This record gives sequence, C-alpha cells and structure tokens, in this order.
Amino acid sequence: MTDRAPLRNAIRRLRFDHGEMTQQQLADAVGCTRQTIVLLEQSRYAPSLVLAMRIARVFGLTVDEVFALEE
Amino acid sequence: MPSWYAIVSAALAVFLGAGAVRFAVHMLHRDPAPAGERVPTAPLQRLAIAALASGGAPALATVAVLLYAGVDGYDARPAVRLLVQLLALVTIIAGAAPVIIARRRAAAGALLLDERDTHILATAPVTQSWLLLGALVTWTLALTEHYWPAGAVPLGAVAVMGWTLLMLWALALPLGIVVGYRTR
Repeated sequence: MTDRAPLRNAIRRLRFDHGEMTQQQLADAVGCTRQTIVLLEQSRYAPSLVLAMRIARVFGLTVDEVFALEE
Repeated sequence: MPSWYAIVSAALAVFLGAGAVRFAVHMLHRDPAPAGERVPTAPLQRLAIAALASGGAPALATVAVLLYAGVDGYDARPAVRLLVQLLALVTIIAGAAPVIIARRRAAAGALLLDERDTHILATAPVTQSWLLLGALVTWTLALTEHYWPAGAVPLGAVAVMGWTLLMLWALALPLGIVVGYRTR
C-alpha cells in the first residue's frame, strides 16, 4: 500500500452523512473492494478518475467536492 | 589467489543477497494500516495467499528431498526423480491454478477485481521476472563454479535447475500479488 496519496477526501464524513452508509455498501455501489475504500479513506490510495467520479456520483457531488489535492 | 571470475561471482552474490535482505527489511517495517483500523483482505489477495500456502508446502518438500538425495541421488535413483517430478508438478499446479481461476472467475463476473486489484495483477509479473532472473543467475554461477573443473554439467543438475525454476515461476506470481497488496 502506498504510504500517502497526495489526495485528501471527505469519503468517511460523506458516508456518515448519507445514512451511515457502510464501507461495503459504498464499495458495492461503485464496484470496488472494501479494501480499496478503506485505503481511500486513509488517503493511502489515489483512485482513477473513473472511480473518483463514481464515488462522487453516489454522494450526488462533483469530484472536487469529494477529493482535493493536498497542498 | 581467487580468479577474476570467482571475485565477480562473489560480488554479484553479495549484491543480490544485500538486495534481498534490504527488500525483506523494507517489507517487514511497512505499516500495513494506521492504528485502529484493520485493512480487510481483498478476494484476489486471499487467493494468492492460498496459492502460496498450497504451493509452498510441496516446494519445501521438493527442496528437502533434493537436499537429502543431492544431484547424484537424482541422477542415480529413479524413485528420487519420480518423487521430485511429482512434487514439482503439484507445486506448479497449486501455485499457478488460483491465479488462473481468479482471472476466469473475474471474466465471468463471479469475482470482483477492482482497478487496484487489476493493477496489482498486471504488475505482479515484474516481481516474478526479478525472482526468476535472480534464480537463473544463481544457478548459472553455482553450476559453472561447481562443475568447471569437470568440464561438463551432469544431466541431473540441469534437470534440477529446470524443475526449481518452474516451481519458482509458479510461486513467484502469487508472491508478486501478495507483495503488490503490501506496496500499492
């Protein structure tokens, strides 16, 4: 696993804001494994643009509202 | 005074050994997850671990038989040859089958491989290639140095080299997948 991806994200907060969605539910919704969701939440994996867009769509947001480059 | 060939061989062996130790230390000291949250195992990762476990046992048994009987025993005793060949075949099948099954099940939609899994699966052959290269260099140096005075390499030694390289090929792919989950 990568030490630290240069992306931070609000996935964990957004999950809880969306009816306490579990990591597995989000993984099923976007077609990835729970391991990938865990690593994304820990900023240890930088997703592809397609996966980032799928995640943003689940929460009804744009990609920049979910992901941001770490300054 | 050692020959230039022996000095170069020793230097290469030290270089390869130091690289292997450095890689092992690096892997052991990686933090797999921050405290408090356990990273779940991915389906492909579980299959790769199963392949290593099921293929590793007959591989160790093969090595034990070869260490016990030696190349001379392999050359002279048909029972040793048969046993080594059977164990090697079991290793190859047990090591390679889970990866083949994973690819087929993923193609049929029965196994979820996401973008990270696919990337790890695609880059695992890099680890496999390096391991095979290292083993081939080691075997070449060992056979050359050991049998140089005799002027010929016995057929048994060449066969043992072939079987061990095939077993390594089968086990190095799941190993590459397991390493991939630790590093990507």
